[in-house]
Amino acid sequence: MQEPFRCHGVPAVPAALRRLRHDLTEWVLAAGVDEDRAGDIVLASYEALANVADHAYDGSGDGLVDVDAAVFPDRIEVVITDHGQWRAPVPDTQPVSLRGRGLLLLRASADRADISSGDSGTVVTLTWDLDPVPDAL
Amino acid sequence: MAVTPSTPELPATDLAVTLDWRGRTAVLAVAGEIDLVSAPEFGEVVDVVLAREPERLVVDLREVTFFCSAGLQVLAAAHRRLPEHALRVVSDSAVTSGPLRTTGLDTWIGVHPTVGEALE
Repeated sequence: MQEPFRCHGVPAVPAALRRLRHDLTEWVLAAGVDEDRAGDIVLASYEALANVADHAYDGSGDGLVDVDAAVFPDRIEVVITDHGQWRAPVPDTQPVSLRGRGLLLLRASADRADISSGDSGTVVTLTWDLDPVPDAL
Repeated sequence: MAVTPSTPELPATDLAVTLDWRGRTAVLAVAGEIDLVSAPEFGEVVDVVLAREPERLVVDLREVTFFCSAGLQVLAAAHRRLPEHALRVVSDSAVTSGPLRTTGLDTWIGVHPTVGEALE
């Protein structure tokens, strides 16, 4: 089983988040996930990171983010933790709004997405189910 | 790393971009990853093209290796500045067509597998 991915205290700024995305992509592919699913995992995780970058700029967080990912027998889990408040999309009443698609992509790309926001920050837990591996005889 | 765009009228960006005019239709091809780093640059390039007032804009995303809501935001802004159905996207991969379809933007912005079909 692959070693967990652990990357803590990353500044939520575009250049650092790009490097983090590249590292996570490498880890997911090394875990033997097929390319389409790897794309979903990286996209959902990146949308969560982009949201952290948003509230890092508005001063409600300390601008650092932690990412943990692990492979379990039945699932892959990615946990994104920050120390700010989750930002709900700003309403835009035009038929084709400019913002607010990140959360939609995040939820659509994961099998399960749990967002829990508290005083100390926000934890986004993303889960993808894996096909059960038959026991080796 | 900045890549000099192959079309001199476009600003220098991290993305490789080429612009080709077919009459009043602009065909903008983009290569690279469109994320928080490069989406502002992608937006600047699209602005430069829209300032030339194309009748239609075809954005070829076939060489784009990563695409997320930051890129969708640029396309949504371009859509708003063009006549209805004048913005089309060329995509032959779920990397770029997936986010457009998931968010329903493909209702407004046509997604085509080739530039030829996007021009029809």
